[in-house]
Amino acid sequence: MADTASGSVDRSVQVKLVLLGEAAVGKSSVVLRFVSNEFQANKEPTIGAAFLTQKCRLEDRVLRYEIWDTAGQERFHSLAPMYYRNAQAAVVVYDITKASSLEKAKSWVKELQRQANPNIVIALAGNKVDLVKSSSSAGTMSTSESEDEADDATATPGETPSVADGESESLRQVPREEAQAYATEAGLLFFETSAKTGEGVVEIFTEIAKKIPIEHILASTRGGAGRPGVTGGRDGARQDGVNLDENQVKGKDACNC
Amino acid sequence: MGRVLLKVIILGDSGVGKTSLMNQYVNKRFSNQYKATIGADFLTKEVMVDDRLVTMQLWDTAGQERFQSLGVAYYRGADCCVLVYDVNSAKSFETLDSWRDEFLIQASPHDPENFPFVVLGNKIDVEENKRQVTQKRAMTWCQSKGNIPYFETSAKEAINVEQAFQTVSKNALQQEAEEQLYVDYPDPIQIDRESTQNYGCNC
Amino acid sequence: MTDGILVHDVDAEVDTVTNEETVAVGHVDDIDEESRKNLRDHLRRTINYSRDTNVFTGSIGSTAPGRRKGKDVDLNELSLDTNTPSTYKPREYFVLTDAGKPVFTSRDEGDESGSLSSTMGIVQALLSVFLDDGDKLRCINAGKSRITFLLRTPLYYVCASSWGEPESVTRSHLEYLHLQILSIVTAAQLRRIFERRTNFDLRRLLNGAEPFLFSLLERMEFDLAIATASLHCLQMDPNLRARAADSLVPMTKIKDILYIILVAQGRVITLVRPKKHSIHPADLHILVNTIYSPSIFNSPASASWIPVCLPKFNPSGFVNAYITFLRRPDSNSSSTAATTELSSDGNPVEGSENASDDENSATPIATSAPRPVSNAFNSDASIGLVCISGGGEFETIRGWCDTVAQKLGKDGTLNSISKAMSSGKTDYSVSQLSIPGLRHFVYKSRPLVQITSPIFEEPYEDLNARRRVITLYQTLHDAIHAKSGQDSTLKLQYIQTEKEITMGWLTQPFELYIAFSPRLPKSAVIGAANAVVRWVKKEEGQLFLRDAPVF
Repeated sequence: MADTASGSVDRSVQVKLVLLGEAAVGKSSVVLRFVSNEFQANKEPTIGAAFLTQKCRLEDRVLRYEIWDTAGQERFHSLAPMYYRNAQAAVVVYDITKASSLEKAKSWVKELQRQANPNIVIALAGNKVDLVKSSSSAGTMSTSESEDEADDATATPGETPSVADGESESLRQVPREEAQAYATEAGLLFFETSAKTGEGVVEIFTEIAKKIPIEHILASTRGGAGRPGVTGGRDGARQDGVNLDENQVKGKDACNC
Repeated sequence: MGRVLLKVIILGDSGVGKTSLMNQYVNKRFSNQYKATIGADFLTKEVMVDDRLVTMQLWDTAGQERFQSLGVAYYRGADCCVLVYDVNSAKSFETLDSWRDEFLIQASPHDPENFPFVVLGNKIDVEENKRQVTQKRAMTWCQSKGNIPYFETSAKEAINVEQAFQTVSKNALQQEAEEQLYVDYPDPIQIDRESTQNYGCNC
Repeated sequence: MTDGILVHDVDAEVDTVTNEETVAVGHVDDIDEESRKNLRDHLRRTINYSRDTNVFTGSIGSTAPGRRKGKDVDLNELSLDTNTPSTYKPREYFVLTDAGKPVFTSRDEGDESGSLSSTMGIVQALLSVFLDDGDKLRCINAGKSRITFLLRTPLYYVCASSWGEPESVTRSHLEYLHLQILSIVTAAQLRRIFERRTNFDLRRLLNGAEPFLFSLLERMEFDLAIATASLHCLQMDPNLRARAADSLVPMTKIKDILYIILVAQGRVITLVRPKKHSIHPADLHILVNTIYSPSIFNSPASASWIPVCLPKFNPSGFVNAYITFLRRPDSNSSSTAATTELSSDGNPVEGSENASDDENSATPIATSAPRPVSNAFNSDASIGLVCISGGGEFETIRGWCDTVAQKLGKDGTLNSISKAMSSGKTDYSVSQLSIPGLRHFVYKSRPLVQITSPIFEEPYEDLNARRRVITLYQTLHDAIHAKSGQDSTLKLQYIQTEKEITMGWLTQPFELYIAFSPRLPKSAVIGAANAVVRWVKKEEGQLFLRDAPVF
């Protein structure tokens, strides 16, 4: 573990994270937002799986997310076990304007809970929240507590607030409360996100980072079996994830694999 | 999920009014001239079924015998089948049985017991005393063949035709929903580096 | 049967069933031969009447574009029957199941999806009428248009074209479409699915893969390598190429690695393979098309890991392709450069490192509007590393590709390649040959199964002019190889029009297709062609990929 007091080197911990969800819910967009802070409309569908890495610092921890952005099309479904095998974290994405995508998300969660690493941290992300918000109310909604009730005096406290300020209800098919309730029951982190505006994206990865049992990972990487991607014994790969400052410099020249 | 296309075969003796029924049902008639030569006319109709946009590819087949051998090809991959008879012609009703049998033989659906059929009794607008097949008789036959939905209609009345197609497409969609798409990725091919890859022409 | 990188030209055909004949299920026995014949005749008459066409059946009829005028001893001149079109309307491609359900269309459907479904039904019915008679409809000529059919049960392929190209060309396009579809689903799976469900809607399986088909169609318009079933590699100093290849050779025994390929500007730089495995040109084309398809090429990921079937290699199963692009021009915005600061209260940190100005500037995004492929990648600076493996573990492959990439970076190979690309050394212009009247050529080395060709310049910058000259090359190729049932092959073919002179020349070591100014005197043509051959021989070290290491 890093010993920051003595100023010695932080060791970044590699966390394999997989994104699952129906086609076109926005998995790749969420990742792109997280990794590059960009959004591209009309992206082509992912084929197979796309692989990205992103280092994060959270207080005294440095995590290196090894992200598997998987294709959501039916024909890739049976490849999923290869992608989520040995994953420490998963983000299961659905589209809040498409109810069937939540059903698909639930079945992914079920599959993960049955087949994946038992300690896997799963976050449920309801994406495309920008489609139901008018621009004035986009952005700063805190996702950990959703107490933003409508200012409207007619709103009855205690009633499920399905219409937040400026929200256009017509497109939304999955009420936040419904998804939240499901997530709570299934033991998942839950966020509503917009890859387009950025809302909620960093939060997901933050909360996952907080929840990952780092000690477990470090223990298992030392053990050597089934490690998440630290490829010991090969100089090239070992150089990544050791020292953050070194890596920032190196990042520009080294290949991005 | 996504767009759906259903292949719908329309069967029945010539003269029962299939063509005018289709003309009426499908507003935009695409092709009108092939029946005599290749044995079928093709129409397309888009409908909403349970919030899904369904494109129906309608195969309005000729009744003549000389196209019989084409049944295997034409019926192949059909999702549902509409059987039409003329309520004023007992014969056209009696042949429904052979039409249905023939279809099942030639199309070989994977689940013949549950294959979606619908029966349309046409030309009810003709005078009552000309009617040769009672509703009761028709419904009895339909029930005996696995509860085939039954509708009566006339060229002047669009309503039941629409319902008939709605019903049969709904049933066809249900069949599709029950089927899981399993795409296998068996372990990737083992590469044998030791032996020479052979690309010999496979003629 | 070859030690070279590429398998010698064999047909690109891959069948999904073991025999061509479709077996009718539930065939009705007492069919009247007489009435079947009547049906066929009636059909023919009707089609003739309404379209004034000739229907070609399964027997091979001559579709040679012109009469031959024997002139000089070896030089045969083809005169074209029809005038070449001045604009080339986009060819239309359709794929349907043998039930008549649409699978793919190159036509923009728009409001027309209704007519598409009916059209597919008519096509299936038409094909069935002939199949029913034990025959196969190959094509229909309707005035200046030709509609070509290819049957690959359970799929049928159709192409409508008014370009006047030989039938073998559109047929080969359809075959490639089929191969690309097989690369997505495999022949075994395709067969199995349709055996279980004749009503299957294949669009479900191809969902999201249409970009591959569209980019293939774009590619095939201008790709001379596909047209000649060969490889067109990037021009490069042979030492540089060899250095790159050496870095690709797996040092240790990494199980199941099949091919390692370095690509740039839409073409291959080098390819490393097991000693006994040559790659089929069609597989390579499908692979390169897949890699450069927007779904993969435009992905901001650092690597893609996709299952792909190489239909000539093994149509029954998948191999894995690990694809990573090095030296992306916008590498600032890809993954490992910056670190995200996460704050513990869950809010994004102000001035977070990855929100830099660089990254907020627009990343060049390829639009989906088609661009001519021969130019599309010329200005792209990325270098792609592709590793094809069987059961290889992702981590192993990735780790090894990391090593390769670092080696290429460290020893300066990547820099040298980038430099060669940016200074225009990876292609050449006809002017470098200094042959008067020469406009363009395609030289195919037969033993190497590779072509070399200069860039298209005036007057072939104009796309229609380019299509015209390519169609002429194809006409010559077709005639020389007697691919459309001509009586015999020829060594030398020559076409003179007011726009250009084109010539095709077949010898044992090479094929040459060449375009000259129409004013070049015929006496100079052979001399000029010889000069091209000499130049290619002199420069061949740079023009072709030779002696790539094997493992």
